[in-house]
Amino acid sequence: MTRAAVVLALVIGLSFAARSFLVDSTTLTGSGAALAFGFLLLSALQTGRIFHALHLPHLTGFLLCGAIFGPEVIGLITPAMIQDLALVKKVAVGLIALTAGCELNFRKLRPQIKCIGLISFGGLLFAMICLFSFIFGLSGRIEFMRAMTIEQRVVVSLICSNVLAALSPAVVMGILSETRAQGPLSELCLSIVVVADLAIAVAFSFSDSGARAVFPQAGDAGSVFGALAIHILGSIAAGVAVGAIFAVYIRRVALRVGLFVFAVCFVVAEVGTVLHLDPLLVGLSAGLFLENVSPVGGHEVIRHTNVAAMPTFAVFFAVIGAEVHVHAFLAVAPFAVGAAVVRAIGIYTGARVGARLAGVSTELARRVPFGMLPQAGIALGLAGLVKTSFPGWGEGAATLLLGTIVVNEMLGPVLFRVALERAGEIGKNTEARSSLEPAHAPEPDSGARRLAAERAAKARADGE
Amino acid sequence: MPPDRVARIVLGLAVALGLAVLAAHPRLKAIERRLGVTVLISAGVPFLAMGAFFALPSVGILTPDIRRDLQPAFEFGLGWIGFVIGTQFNVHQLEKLPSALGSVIAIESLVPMFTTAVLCSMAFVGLGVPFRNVDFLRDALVLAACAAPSAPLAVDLWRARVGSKGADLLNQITLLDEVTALTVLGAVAIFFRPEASATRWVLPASAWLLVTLGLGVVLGIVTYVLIRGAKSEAEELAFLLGAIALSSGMAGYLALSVPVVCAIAGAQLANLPLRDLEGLRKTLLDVERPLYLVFLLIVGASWRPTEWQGWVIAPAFVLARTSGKRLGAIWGRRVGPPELPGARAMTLALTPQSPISIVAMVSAATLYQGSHPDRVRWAINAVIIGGVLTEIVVRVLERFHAKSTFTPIPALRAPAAPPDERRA
Repeated sequence: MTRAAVVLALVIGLSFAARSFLVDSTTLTGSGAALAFGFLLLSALQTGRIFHALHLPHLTGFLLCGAIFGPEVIGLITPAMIQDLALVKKVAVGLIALTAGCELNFRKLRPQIKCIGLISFGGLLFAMICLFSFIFGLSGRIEFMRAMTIEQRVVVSLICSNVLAALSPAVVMGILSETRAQGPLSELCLSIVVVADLAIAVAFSFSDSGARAVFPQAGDAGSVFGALAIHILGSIAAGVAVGAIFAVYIRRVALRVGLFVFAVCFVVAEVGTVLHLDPLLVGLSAGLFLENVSPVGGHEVIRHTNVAAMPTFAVFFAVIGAEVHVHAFLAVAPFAVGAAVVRAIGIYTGARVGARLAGVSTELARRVPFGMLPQAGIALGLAGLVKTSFPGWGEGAATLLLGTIVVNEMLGPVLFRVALERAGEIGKNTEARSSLEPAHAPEPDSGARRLAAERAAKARADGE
Repeated sequence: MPPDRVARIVLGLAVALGLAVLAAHPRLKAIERRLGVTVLISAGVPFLAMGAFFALPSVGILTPDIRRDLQPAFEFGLGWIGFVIGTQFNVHQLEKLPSALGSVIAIESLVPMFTTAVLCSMAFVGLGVPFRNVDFLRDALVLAACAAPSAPLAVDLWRARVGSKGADLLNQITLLDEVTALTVLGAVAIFFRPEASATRWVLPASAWLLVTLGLGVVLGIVTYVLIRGAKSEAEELAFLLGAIALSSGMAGYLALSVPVVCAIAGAQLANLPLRDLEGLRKTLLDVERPLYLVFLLIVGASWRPTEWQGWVIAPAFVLARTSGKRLGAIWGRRVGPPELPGARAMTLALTPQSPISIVAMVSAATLYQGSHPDRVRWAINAVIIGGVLTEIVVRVLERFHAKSTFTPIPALRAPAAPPDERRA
């Protein structure tokens, strides 16, 4: 921990010194994106180590590091740098989703389908009901809703509850990867968040259409539903195509697979922006195709990309953290904390009910809801969509939503890690552990061994 | 990105990135070694041409948006290549070399630099560039720096030609003359600061020299501390990526030469006690070629081969460089160790242009893009065309001398790389 703190201080000092060379938001060469990338990667990893020593998830460390050094707090990372790292983020999310898809084997999950469906449905439904009640109940006190009619308040509450019910596959995958967790809880949580993510995207298209009917100035109601359908189906189709490309490459070429996967993720991220493809869905579909359809197993891809997982997670979550709207959070802090608490209660109750109906053991049922608490990318994306789609009240709603997401983003990973720890699943993924072989670092115990040998020699000499 | 071009862009980017990965295939490298061609010719020029083609408005694959997205990769690529050069500067290994080899390296890199600076200056004057301007000297020095590095040696081929000892010495020369080029490049970045009104620091050149050296050394130490503390291969790779990105980002932000600062950091790392420096170098080399080719793709996107001025400077560059290498070989042979091959063989081995020349040129271009951008483009043009022309000249000279001097080219071996295989 001391070493990590010293290195962190050194990296921060160097970066601050370099940034003092130019007036803010100006650059002489490039945009400073390489500096931002290097700084975020190194500082996030060091913060992650410090958090690990404190028995907290690395991931929370990554997020907090990004938030602190991001544009809204210290400002070491400028908005322009964040913008230039958007592609890195998209590539990372594609890679994270690909890895997750490669982990999901339908044959193994078949016996659990009922359980996954019921828990997802229960958790989301209860969360949405609780959030809807909370927001609608407080609509008279919330600034942007005060002047609205009852009908409008209902629709806005529906939209907000829909966004806030979103889960985070990326965070769950990140926590499972960093803790090398394996077991029933890990598998169930991963499946639930993936299924629930799709359900949220579809539900949002309905609530968005409803909102457009009530707020006609927002535009055509049908277009968003159609666009979302294309977005989801198109992303799945693109993912299957990408999976097929990976399968052919691994079977026929099998050279620098990791680099090839990165290159393809880059192309998907570039083109996805124009075609409105979700890199998460594309990556997930590609992974599912590899694991469940193609003769190349998903674990083959995981093996090749495993070494890149750590930098990917660190940069992705640090950038997400840097995008955290701290000022927005402070402006709506009481409402946001309240909404986060209500959401947690809704998810917990709903998931417990779903688990009971599915006949899940009490121990497992008690811990599964914690995997549904983290929030990040999808919720942020939907909040952004609300902001841009509904001029007038969209901005106010987005502020409330972002504030709540900040709370879930920071506390969700911590709670999920605790649940995994209690379930005894941390460190059970032996396959992940086997790839963690020291490479060029000095042997960890070489100093101690030398000291012991010296002592033994001295003792022998004394004895003689 | 225009929606009607999406399919084309997908296909173009996929082909380019796929080829960059495939171009590092051991079989392709074996063919290069067998034919004795440099990576600049086998893959570099095709990637430059592909970049130029993709950037054409009618083709529209490498659009300004995509080039902006690739910008961090560009800076990072410069840093990665600089780091690789730096890690070759291992003092323990250098001490094992004959002491007279240092003079040979200095001579065979400084003489062509001098001849190139003189001849290219004359070409610039011929093109109407006012020589009293301080930028004139800067451009001449950058071109001179590009003249120093020699292409990686096809060691197997040269062992068959001049014997094992001679080939190894030639290989060491080609490894180390890049350091001379980077030294000059670093000096240019220090003494010819890009014009900017937004800077908060106003420092004399001597202070910038200290900043360059200090930054490189500190970043090298940071990298060392990080790698020493790595608990796994994944963590080590993450630290290496972060350290190189931070080094290149800081150097770029301070408007210093990115490959120079990263080379200093790499050299610092190579001279500190790491358990498996060779393993680390292998990691660096493994990604170098794909990264270099993507780098060339981006360079190609801003390459203007149709500007005739570059075609005027290129012959001057090639003539100056080739004659300089020849003079350097004759002089170096006199002062160097007796195991060195003859001056003619040395000339043929050291004349092919290293891909690092383009890296050096482009690195300088990123610093001075705001000052006389037309001249910067001409110089890039000259170095790229010069690389191809040099290869042709070397081939002609080889044919001229091969019958009497050299043993025949050996048959194609298995694709496994030789143990002393080096960059790109």
